[in-house]
Amino acid sequence: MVIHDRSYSRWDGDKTSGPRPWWVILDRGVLTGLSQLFKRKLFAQAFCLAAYGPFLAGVGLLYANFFFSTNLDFANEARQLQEGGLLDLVTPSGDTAFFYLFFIQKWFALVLCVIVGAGLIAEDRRTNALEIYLSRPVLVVEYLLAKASILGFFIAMVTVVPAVILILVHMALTDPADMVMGEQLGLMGWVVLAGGLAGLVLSLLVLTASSLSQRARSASISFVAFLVLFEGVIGGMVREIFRNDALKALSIEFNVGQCMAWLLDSPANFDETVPVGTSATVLAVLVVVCLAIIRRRIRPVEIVA
Amino acid sequence: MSTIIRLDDVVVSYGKRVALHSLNAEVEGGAVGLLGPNGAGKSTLMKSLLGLVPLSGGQAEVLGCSVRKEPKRLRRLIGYMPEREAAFPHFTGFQATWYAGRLAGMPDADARRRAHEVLLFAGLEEARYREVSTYSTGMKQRVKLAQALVHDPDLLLLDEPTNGLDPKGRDEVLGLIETLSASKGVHVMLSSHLLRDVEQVCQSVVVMRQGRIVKHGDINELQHSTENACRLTVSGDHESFLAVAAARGLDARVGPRGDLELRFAGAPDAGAVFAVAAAAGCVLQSLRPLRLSLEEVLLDVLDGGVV
Repeated sequence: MVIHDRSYSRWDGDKTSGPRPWWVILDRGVLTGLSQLFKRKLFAQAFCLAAYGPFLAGVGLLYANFFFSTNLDFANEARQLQEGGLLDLVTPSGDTAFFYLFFIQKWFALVLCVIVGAGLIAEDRRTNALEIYLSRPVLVVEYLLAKASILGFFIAMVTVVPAVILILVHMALTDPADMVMGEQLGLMGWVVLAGGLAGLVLSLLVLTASSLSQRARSASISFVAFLVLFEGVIGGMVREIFRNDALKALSIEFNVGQCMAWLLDSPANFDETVPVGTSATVLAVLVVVCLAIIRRRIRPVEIVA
Repeated sequence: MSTIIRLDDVVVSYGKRVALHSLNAEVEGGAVGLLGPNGAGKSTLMKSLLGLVPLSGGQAEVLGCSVRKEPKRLRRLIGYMPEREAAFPHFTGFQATWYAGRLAGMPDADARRRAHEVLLFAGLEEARYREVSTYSTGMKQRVKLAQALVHDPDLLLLDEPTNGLDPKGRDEVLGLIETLSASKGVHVMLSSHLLRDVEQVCQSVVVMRQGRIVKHGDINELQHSTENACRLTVSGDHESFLAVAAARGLDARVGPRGDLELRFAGAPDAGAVFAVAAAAGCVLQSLRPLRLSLEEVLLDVLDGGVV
């Protein structure tokens, strides 16, 4: 008598009851990215410490300020801290947010792009996984959205997320009478927008490099080479040859910074020689070109004829 | 049996090159073999049924879903096993199968349970926690089959499923496919250039040549008995048998398998065969109606002949 049928059995569940495919890809991609990052534990620890160091220092300074200024015994220390200038570096404002996102955290985002982002499409192309993905109820747009979201998640974790938490900490530790709540909430929104813009441009550049390769390593090399070539050689050389500051608009980094400075209302970091509209247009063209390249590369069938 | 695939003037082009020329067919359920030489358009037809290759013209319906209008719904109903090696990078056999189920829209717990079940069915019970990249060719074929089955499709599209398998592995995989089709109610479309595979598993075939369907029908009907002809085995001198038969006005010849074939002008006459054998000094060991093998049918069709 057969007590258990070990052969094939039919499944009568609902095939639309699971999550959307892009969420499945995102979920799995984030876990895979974390395992790639933590493959070398010492490196991962050093990276996390460095990436969150400025954030932790900021939280520490804000708390110290709160602690000193609410204890009369430390009035002297509170005054020293406020006059020392250090507090100005971490008190959330358009300028500090720009400094934090654009000058410090950018480098950690770039490292994550190389470690996590380079293989996102390249590895799928190498192992022909695209054919399996797209033979499932997954549209190319959903696949691309999921892959961009994986990288977006990691970039946000070292840029927007700590910046927003810093603003929240500041709001929690500051006397409401000394602060305009609406301004802080507005700043939070602009930080998300500015960080999102930088993340989008960076993600698309990495995904384009990834879609043009079949190995994570070659994708990361081409991504770095593109940045060095475009920013340093082409952008720098052309500007020097023509001695025209308006040619800064050839630089992706400059345009991202320009748009971020405009969004964060940071005049100190805004370059008047190039209108923000020009920078936004250059970035829009870049985004369209990247999407067009990626779209051509993400296909289930390689047509050789 | 109901129609599972309906093709209506289907055209598929890669740039200027037309890969499928105005295909029209109604394919019934069960196990269907897709036969044809390399470059006939078998894989392209499968991929266009899945929507992986867009139709340049015409309409196609699979399991009642329009290929053009309902690609997502369609892909929930179909399990696809690609011809070339394809795997999710760095995944174990279990992870790859579970993930394929999740992508098809299954809830997590069900996808996990089904992944174990289909891996067991595919014979990968022991190796399911090993990374797919470490698998042998046969195991990779099995994990592709498991991925295609995990969401319990109504139709399985199998593109050369026995490629790279040793004879034992080939028989096992064909056995699994036969089980699915014969007793589990899963329709199967099997593309292969190995006729024995198709003969073993399928009830009907679609024969393609240069992007066109040149024959389509039930295997038994295609392998019909050729009227007024029989195949015989005789012991003794074949040459003298052929000479006596020719002298008596019978069309006798050596068949492709080395046995003798005899064609009559009218109805087959067994008495005449015995008389020829006796006159030639041969012993007639068997006499049966001439039935074409699938190979002979295919060769005849591909040569442009009439079966």
